Amino acid sequence: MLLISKAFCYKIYTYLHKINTIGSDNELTQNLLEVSNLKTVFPTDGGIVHAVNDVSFSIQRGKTVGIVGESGCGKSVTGLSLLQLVPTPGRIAAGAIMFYREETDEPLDIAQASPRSELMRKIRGNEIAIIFQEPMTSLNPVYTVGDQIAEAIVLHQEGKRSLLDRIVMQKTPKWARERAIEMLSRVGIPAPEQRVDEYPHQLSGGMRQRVMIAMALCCAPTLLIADEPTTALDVTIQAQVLTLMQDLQTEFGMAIMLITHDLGIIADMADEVVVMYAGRVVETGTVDDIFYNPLHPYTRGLLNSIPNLKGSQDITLPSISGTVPHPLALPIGCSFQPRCAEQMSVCEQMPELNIIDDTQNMQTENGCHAVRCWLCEEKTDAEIA
Amino acid sequence: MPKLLEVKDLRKYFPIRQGILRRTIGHVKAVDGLSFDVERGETLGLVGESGCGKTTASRCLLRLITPTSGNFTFGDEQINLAKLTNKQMRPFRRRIQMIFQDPQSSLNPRMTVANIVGEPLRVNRTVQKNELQDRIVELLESVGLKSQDMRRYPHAFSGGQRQRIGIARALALNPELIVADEPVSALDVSVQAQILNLLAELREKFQLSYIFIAHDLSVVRHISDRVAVMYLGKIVEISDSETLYQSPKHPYTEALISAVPLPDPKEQRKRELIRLEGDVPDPSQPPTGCYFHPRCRYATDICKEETPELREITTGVKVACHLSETLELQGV
Ligand SMILES: Nc1ncnc2c1ncn2[C@@H]1O[C@H](COP(=O)(O)OP(=O)(O)OP(=O)(O)O)[C@@H](O)[C@H]1O
Ligand SMILES: Nc1ncnc2c1ncn2[C@@H]1O[C@H](COP(=O)(O)OP(=O)(O)OP(=O)(O)O)[C@@H](O)[C@H]1O
Ligand code: SF4
Ligand SMILES: [Mg+2]
Ligand SMILES: [Mg+2]
Repeated sequence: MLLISKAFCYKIYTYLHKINTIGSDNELTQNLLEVSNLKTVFPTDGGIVHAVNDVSFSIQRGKTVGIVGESGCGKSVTGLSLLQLVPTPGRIAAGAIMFYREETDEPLDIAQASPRSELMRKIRGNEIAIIFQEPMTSLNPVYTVGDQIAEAIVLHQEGKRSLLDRIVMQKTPKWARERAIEMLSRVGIPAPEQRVDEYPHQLSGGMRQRVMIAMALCCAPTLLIADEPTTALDVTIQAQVLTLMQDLQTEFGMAIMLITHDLGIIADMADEVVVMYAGRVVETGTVDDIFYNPLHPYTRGLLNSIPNLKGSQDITLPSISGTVPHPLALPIGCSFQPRCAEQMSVCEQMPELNIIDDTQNMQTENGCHAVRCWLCEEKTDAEIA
Repeated sequence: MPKLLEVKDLRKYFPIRQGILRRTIGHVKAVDGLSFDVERGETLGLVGESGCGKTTASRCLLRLITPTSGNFTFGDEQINLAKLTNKQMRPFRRRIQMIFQDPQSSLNPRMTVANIVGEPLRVNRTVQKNELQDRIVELLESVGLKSQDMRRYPHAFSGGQRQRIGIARALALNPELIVADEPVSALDVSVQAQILNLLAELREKFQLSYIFIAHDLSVVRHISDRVAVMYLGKIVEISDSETLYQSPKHPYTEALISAVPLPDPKEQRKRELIRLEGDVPDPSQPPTGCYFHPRCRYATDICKEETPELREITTGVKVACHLSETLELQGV
């Protein structure tokens, strides 16, 4: 057991190291965040839910990592863990979240930081911002959107509150309000001078999501975590919001961790992809690895089971049989095993996340392709030896 | 042979009331003059953005609400259902059934699966008491559930399985037409494919016709023979699905197709995206002329003034746009 985990640690180390060293002379391809062996658990009446189980991946500066998987596979909890925002009674039980901050050379391990510490408060919003699916739940209905954006600006730049502002105790200093208007117009809200004084319910869903993005970006974070940012929106509005995120990424150079269950959005936005199933990473690689050389049966099944806007219109879609297992009744070994068409006897043991050196990967300058499946195990063991 | 369903100029306006006297100050034109038909054994897809009136239209067809105006005739008898009283409607209710988006809220949590699926059979007394059990088992098996599942309650099932229970209930009375309102929108991708396959299989087996409502254009293309695109309570384009997706004739259809990200990174990078500006207008204050003109990149003066009629431009292709003959629009 010990041996296995040692070998595994080595693999993860090389995996992360590989990403970090490739193109390290280029600022843009450096890692901003390295998650390794992260475990986040929820103690419940029925037992411990391993919502995030041994998850490793990394996010490069200025790049987009897409996290994809079905409902309950642990995407949101992974995102919340990165900000130490896991709701009680959940907690990070193991693993590291190395965050390479701008001003310091030494990375900070967020997994070790206390959720309520001053440090975490500084990181949230200032350096890592998060936006959620339903903006209405994160916007306060009794304040105008302008006040809320201004509040975010002031909160994170307390030092800049002038003496005059403090004496008069204005709720919203004039400069912050001006900055809020500027942000609103930056995210493409028409007539921002007028919208700034409106309340959230007066805006459409797409506009609310733009306000959320404006709030998230007002402090120029280095990482934006977007948890299903467009799931509640119509496709034409979704296209507007996704384009906006792309434009702002180019402008501000922030990295994006994009959580979604929509493979179309992944194909459109992501540089790297992490596919999750039942709390674990089953496959990770560049967007081209995942779409053109998927190796895990689950990834393949997912890609095959989406009806296509183009291509053939066959009567039967290839579908994955069965359903996602209950988090308290996970199958032994590979979690996908009962639904897998390729299932073998060895699948009753948990496969490791193995790096694959495939041609697809050689051509792209960064990232590496890793798969958690016994079908891919042998090949790599031989290669390592 | 007459069509199974023929809808003519269907309208549903909801009054907007205000003040203590609840005076009507305007109307939400949720469904504003729909005309289409459904043939036997055919699946008609209905797509459009949130609030365009898809659900309202289907509620009218099931006569869960009474349309403000318009007609629709159903079945070989060609009876106009729009004007029937509740009592007159009764024999038709079993012939048109509905499947809902959220199986969670459409299944009574206190009833066993056997009771849920058997309820329409009992109420309509279509089978003898001693045959009831067999019929329920038969229905469950036809949607891929097991007879042991009969005694369990909805909460013990996954989302996909609950949708199967809802489908079994809809099938109980041997309907001719099933209106499915976003039946797979709440499901995971892998389960969605299972349900789509099941619906296609049942269509063959029981010679069903579907009106399939969804906002996911890929799903609609997969299951539908023909597709109608709605915008602000009106149909802007209707044709067979291959033609509609390959060579759309309405600028809104073009923009909708373009907005769907393809699950193919290389293809997606190559695509020229058409970005629609602005939001869908408020249906109580629709724009003048063509409802789409404020967001349309091809709009000309006539579009601001005259409402385009839905007209057949080639066989089987109907479009409501002044310029559809001259525009060269891009498909998938
Ligand atoms: N507060 C909580 N208490 C107990 N279990 C929880 C809690 N929050 C999440 N979980 C469990 O953690 C697992 C992962 O949940 P998570 O919300 O991360 O899924 P997800 O991938 O974001 O799904 P979705 O696509 O539905 O948003 C689930 O099995 C869920 O039941
Ligand atoms: N009972 C009602 N009273 C007043 N307005 C209504 C009522 N039902 C629907 N509406 C309005 O009618 C319009 C059409 O709504 P409908 O639910 O039919 O849209 P939809 O196309 O099904 O949208 P979605 O995709 O969000 O389900 C909306 O503007 C809605 O607010
Ligand atoms: S009628 Fe005019 S505004 Fe309407 S879709 Fe056609 S071109 Fe655009
Ligand atoms: Mg989630
Ligand atoms: Mg609806």
